[in-house]
Amino acid sequence: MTSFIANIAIVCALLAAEGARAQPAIAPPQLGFVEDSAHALRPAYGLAGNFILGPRMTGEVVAEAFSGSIGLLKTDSSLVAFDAQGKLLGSKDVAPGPAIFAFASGGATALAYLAANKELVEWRGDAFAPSSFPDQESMAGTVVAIAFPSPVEVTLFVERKDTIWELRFPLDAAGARSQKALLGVHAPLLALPTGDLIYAERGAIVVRRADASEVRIAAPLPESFSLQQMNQSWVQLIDFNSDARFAIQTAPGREGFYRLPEQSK
Amino acid sequence: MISRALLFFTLIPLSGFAQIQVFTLNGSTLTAVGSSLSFGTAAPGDTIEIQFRVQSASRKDVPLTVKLSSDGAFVIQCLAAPYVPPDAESAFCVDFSPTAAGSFTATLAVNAIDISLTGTAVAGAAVTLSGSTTPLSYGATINFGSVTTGQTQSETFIFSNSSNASLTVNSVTVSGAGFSGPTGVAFPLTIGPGQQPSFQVAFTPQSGTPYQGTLTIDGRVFNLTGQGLDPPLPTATIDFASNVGASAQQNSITIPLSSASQGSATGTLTMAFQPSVAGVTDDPAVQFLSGPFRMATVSIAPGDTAATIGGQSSIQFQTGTTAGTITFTLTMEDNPPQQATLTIPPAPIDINTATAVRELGALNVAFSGFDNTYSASQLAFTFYDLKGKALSQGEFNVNAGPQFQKYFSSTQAGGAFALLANFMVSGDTSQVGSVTAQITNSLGTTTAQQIPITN
Repeated sequence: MTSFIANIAIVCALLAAEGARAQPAIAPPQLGFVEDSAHALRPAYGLAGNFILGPRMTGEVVAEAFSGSIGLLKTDSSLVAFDAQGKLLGSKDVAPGPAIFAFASGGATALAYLAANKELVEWRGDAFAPSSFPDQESMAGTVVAIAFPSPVEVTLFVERKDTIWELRFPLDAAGARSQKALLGVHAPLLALPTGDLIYAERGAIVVRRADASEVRIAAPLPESFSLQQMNQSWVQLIDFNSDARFAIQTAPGREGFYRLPEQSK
Repeated sequence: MISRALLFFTLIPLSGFAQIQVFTLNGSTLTAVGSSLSFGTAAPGDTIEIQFRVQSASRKDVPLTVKLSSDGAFVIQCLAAPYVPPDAESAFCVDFSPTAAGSFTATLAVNAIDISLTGTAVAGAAVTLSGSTTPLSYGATINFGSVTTGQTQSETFIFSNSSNASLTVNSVTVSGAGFSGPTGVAFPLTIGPGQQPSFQVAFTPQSGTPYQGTLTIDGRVFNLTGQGLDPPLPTATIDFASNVGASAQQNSITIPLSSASQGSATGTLTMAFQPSVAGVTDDPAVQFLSGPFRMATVSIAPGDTAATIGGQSSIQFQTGTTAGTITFTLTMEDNPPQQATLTIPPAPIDINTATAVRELGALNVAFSGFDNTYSASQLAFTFYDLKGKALSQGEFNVNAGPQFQKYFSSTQAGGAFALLANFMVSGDTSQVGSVTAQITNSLGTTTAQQIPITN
């Protein structure tokens, strides 16, 4: 091993990866995308405690989420995929109604759950494609979150009589199914590609890690809200009753709850 | 011939008479006058004056003649111009000044329009304002002065009967918002010769505005006026949740009052930022987190012990990523502005996130953070094997000053930055376990220790 290490040579250190990547070596830190109080999609830049909203890109957003590399957006009549620059990657006509999104680990593919038709649509990196869906009987309850743990599997988080159930289904309709109750977990709920579950309890946001450990982030929570993924380690909290928007940092060791600006200069 | 001439002189003026209309003017209100007009009730010695306006819709001057046939109680006090200009008006006034009790009549002729004037004089008790020796005349104005809202100013009115017989005052009424009374006596009130009963009228304004009312004594009308004054605001201060100034912080402001407010007020809280970094004029991330960018409305209601800011008890703001001074200015109506400052001192670079990723033939080290001095320069990277031993190549140093200066001169992100360093590697990158990154600015060096390298 020692001799092998000795053979490693770091031959060059560059500040600019411009030849290999589309991004400059030094750039404003991008925090992802947010849905503002006018239901418009806006890029967000900055750091924890220092947020800058970019210009409005599109309006009439019903739901949106961003993985760090791609985003999904639902308007009243369309499902849209976009890249980190906000560029349209693909779209599909869909029925009006809310949508819930989940990204695969790596963030390049995603699932959208369309509540109106109880329909799953997969973004496969270049186009939308319908996904098979569990039978309605096993789907009793209200879907409050979804996860995309592997390319062949979907997890539905279903609320049944105040209890959240985690239901795992194969996307191709073949394979094992499982379900378990998640005690102490409440809606609104967000499942991140890391396996983290984000939910609220009195006065705090709870980050339940994949290993079942929990981190509580003290937060002045609004009465009713939704959670949407902003980036790999950022979640947006949208207050239904006001213009207030919040950002939750979920990265281990850097957890925090912040308010997003309502206006940009 | 004579009859034809009379007809001529009668018809010509009539063509003009038909083009005028007579109004009374009360304050700014014009009221068309019919065939009769009452001057109301006065006491002997009072004068009731009514203002008249004569309007014409003609495109030419209309001759105007005003005549009064009176028994002496009525008199034209101010004369009208002999013409009513086109699309304009002419003014005159008539006084009713009875010298004794009784009913009085007169006929006012305005061109061909005859108006019957009536007025009544009632022998009544004289009314004097306390502190004065002069009886109030009809229409006199009693000014209660400027009174703080919620406070009460009372005036005492004194009846006097200088006759040899008793007089009766049947009713006294007070009207108008802010005015109340009378108190002190009950009506009807019999006043014997030489007696001087009194009553009070109170003025209690509820806002800092002018007030008007009337005092009516057996039909005799007196005007009441007063000015409401907003009470002085208690001292308001600008309090920060944290007085420690630092970049990339979310802080909040409250505005407590030195005591419960007796009045209401509105104003603004503005924030301004003066960077201490040479050549930098602003940092757009320095802003309020709710409402407009750097301005919030402030309001105080009676009973408040703290102002509301943008409708809330506090307002959050963020401090940006540039060293400098944030100045908050509180401006409340009729009060001198108050200021509070929060100094954001220059600091070493803050690394917010740091990651390292292994790729085929390369290692990418990325971190985000901020440099509130805009002086970032030297980067240093040290790679370690899986056991944590530094690789033999030692420290890689990169002078990134020019790139940082170029970035800071064009970005709208203040001192915030994300940096990506790419290292080309020959050999098995899986044997490189971690990297330590250092970045230096004018305040010192910041180190991100042993960033694990992931796939």
